[in-house]
Amino acid sequence: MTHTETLNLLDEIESLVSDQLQVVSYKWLSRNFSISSETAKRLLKDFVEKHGKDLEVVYTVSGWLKNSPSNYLTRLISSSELPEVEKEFDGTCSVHIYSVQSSIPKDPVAIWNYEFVQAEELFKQPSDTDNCLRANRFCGISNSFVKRNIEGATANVTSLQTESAKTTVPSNQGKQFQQPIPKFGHQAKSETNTAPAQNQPVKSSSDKEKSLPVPANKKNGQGEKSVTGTGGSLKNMWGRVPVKTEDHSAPIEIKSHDNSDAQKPSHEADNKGGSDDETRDVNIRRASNRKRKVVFDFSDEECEDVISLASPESPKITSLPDTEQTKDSGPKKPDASREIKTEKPEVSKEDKQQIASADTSGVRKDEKFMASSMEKIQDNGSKAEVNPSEARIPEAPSSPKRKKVLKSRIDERGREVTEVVWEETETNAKKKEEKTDTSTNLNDGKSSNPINRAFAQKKSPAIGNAAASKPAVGKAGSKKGGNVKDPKQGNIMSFFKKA
Amino acid sequence: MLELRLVQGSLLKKVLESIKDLVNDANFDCSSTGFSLQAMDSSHVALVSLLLRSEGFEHYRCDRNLSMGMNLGNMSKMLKCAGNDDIITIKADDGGDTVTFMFESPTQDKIADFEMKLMDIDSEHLGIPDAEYHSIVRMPSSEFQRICKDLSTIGDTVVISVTKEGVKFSTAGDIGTANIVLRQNTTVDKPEDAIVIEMNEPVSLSFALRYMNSFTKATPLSDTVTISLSSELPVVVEYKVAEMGYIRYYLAPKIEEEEDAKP
Repeated sequence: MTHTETLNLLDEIESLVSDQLQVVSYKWLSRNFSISSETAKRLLKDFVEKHGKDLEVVYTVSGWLKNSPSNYLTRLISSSELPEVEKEFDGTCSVHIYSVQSSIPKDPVAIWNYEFVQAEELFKQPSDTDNCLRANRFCGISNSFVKRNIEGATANVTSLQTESAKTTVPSNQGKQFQQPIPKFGHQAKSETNTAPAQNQPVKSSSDKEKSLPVPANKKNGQGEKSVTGTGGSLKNMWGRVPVKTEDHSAPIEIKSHDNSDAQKPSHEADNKGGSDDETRDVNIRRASNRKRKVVFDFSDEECEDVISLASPESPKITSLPDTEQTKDSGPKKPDASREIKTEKPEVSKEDKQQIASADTSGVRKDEKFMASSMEKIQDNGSKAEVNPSEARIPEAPSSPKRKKVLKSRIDERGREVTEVVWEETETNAKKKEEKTDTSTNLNDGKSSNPINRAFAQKKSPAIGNAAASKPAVGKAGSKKGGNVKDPKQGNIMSFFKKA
Repeated sequence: MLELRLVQGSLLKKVLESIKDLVNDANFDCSSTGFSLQAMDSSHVALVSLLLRSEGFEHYRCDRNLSMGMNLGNMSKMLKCAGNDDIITIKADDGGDTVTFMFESPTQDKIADFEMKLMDIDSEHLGIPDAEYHSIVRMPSSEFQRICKDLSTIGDTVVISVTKEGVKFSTAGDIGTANIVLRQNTTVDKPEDAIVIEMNEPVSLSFALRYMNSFTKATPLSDTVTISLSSELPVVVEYKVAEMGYIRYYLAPKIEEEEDAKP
């Protein structure tokens, strides 16, 4: 059965590649048929071995380069370049099939387009549906922010696993990881016979079914680890997973497992429907159980890795003999995610600061406005003239005309910053010029102060007054320097290019 | 290592006087071919380009290309300390942040060293293409200076028109208008007094007199001035520097037709 299913899947790929001329990448394959990316790669490899002659294959090659400050390079290359490129690497490099297609597209984007469209559609699905991207299931990279909805089932599965692992005789590896495929292939096939784009909506339902085995995989890997003594950290990762021991007997396990299935309302609700499904689920588990067992056998020492990765998918990947995927994508993507992480807080921090300062200054002003007499205003005014740094604080007679405005701008680091800014409804362009022209009118603090402040506020409350007022002066200065008088005056820069 | 020895030290003094009003800070670029400067005024309307070729120096040593940022006002202050007959030597080390001006009196009985701090200046170096100009006017520099000075008392914009008849400088202001027409005149005793007009196409452009006036600060450098005009290009006002180079001023014209200035 396994083989036939695999064959079906291979046929599927063949029709996609040769009839629909689609670029089938391992990512696309993995998502479309809900198989792990590692399995997808293997499948592609099998496919290439069978039909390799009339195909173009794009490989991912990654490894350390030979040059002296050795760089880690990951490249997509076509099969013809493969031997040549392999020489560039220092020692061994990992070679993976990235995609198969009938011909190498002229535009490299085409290689990536299908999986991009697919990913887009997966993300477009309603937020309550669980799909492989949301759950981060088939990715070699973990994302700690992605949480899967796992009820108490894990432990059951774990123990079940271990039980079944004991009972089942480990078969050869190839069979093992192909076993989960047939089930999905079965379901997926009927869908994928239609156009690939249509797959997604249908998939969501089938996804739920499919989702079962894979999480089970993870759980198994992890669960066994918990046996090995790292249960504590696992607990942290999946808060609700009770730590179970292997003591339970097999039949009980299966029962409770079924129950727990029924209890999982979020992504397995559909499964409850038929008893057929249930039994199939159990079958799946059993099938994957073997695999789990194998995984466990493969690598005891990789437990730490698995834990640190904290991804459902990861145990399997790390346990597989060739860990290219984690290698080649590992160094890049975590970086990106880290960047995003660090950037976001900054922005929000800034925002908060600015908003806060805007608020406080606003409050301050209002208070003062209530309390202060005209004299006080003038006092403040003259003070501000003397000490520019205080210019923003003093009360303005024109304050009623101001309003809070949300302004977003792109700052120098390319982030969008939204600020709460006091803006004067009155146009004070003329006044600005006056102000910058002469700072000598000390005694009419009334008129000059509000302008000062308003201008400073316009820039951004959080930035110092000096910073805010500088550009104003600069502007006025340059204007005075040449162009202000003559709007007709040409600019020399418009005639000569920069060398 | 840089060492430039200029016997006619007054030239350097005059050069500085002719650009320091237009530009505050600028980079002097030294290469094996010569000592040069290109800078724009702060409003990016005018550009000055100076070249003193290495052949004009008594001794010229420039091991590697060097760009020295200087405040022209400060440099002028130091050069004013040199006598008009003094020999000026400019010295700088490759990695150093100072430049030394050495003034020797002609009789070698007085030697003065002035060391000036350099500064980092972000200069925008513009590529200036060699262009064919529609009209080229060569005239005594003092005459040009006089015209610019006179017209600036009446208006702030000068329209320079070159036609078959000659070159016309005209302005208009609150008190009235002024027109000065110069005709070609090559039959003079001294060649530097000649007015030579080469006209391929008639051209008429208007410029800010303020800038023209600051260009004429270079009048002491040369007896003649060459004004090159093209309708699509900035005017070039060129003064030769004693057979060893030139100082050229480029000024963007005022836009006549369109209301808004070019960016």
